[in-house]
Amino acid sequence: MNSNLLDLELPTDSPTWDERDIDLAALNEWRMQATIWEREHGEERAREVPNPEPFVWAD
Amino acid sequence: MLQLVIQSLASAQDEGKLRFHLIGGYGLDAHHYHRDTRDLDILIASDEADVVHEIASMLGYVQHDKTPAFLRYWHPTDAKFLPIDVMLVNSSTFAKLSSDSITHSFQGVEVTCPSVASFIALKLHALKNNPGRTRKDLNDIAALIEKNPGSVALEEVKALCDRYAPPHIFDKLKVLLEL
Repeated sequence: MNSNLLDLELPTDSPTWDERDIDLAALNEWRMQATIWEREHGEERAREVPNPEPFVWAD
Repeated sequence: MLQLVIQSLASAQDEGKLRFHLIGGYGLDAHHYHRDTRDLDILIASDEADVVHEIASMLGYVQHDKTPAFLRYWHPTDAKFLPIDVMLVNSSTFAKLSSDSITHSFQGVEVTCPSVASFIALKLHALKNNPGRTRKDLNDIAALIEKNPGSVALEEVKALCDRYAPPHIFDKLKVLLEL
């Protein structure tokens, strides 16, 4: 993760990722704010086009 | 905005126009594995891609990439609309992935997510097609197994590796799982 991102004053603290009963709403808000921050600061991750071959479930 | 997007997709599903599963980082939450993510990933039957395109366009998205297996939508003006990645599968594969899918509350909307075994198969397929993703996808698989004990037998994981992964992936996975 971008180290600058960790210093952000986001609406919620970075969630405790391993917590089983995590507050998903807070986690999703944090992800959203991190995504917006990266886009606004030109630090979006490289986004490759995955899966050139379609996934087919083979019985 | 995330809720608006998922609600729009769910409404289309309720109306019988679309079936979709939540995958990617947000979908993994359903199995108690929480990792960072920057986009909304869904899986649909390819013959329903037009419905997703219509919804995305209505919300202001533009199509950024398109392959036989994948669509990507990008919102040009509002960063609150996360990128949407759409994985396309044929109808029979979608039905198979649906057969043991689980329900999950996402942004207050009831959605479905693939089972642990199905997620593992999808991840193995992804890393086979892009070896650069091996570390990331193997970590996801190992975490899914660790956080969902009893949900999938090791023999089943091996069978999925034999079917969908490049050679030696099961051995690497066992190392990650400290087996």
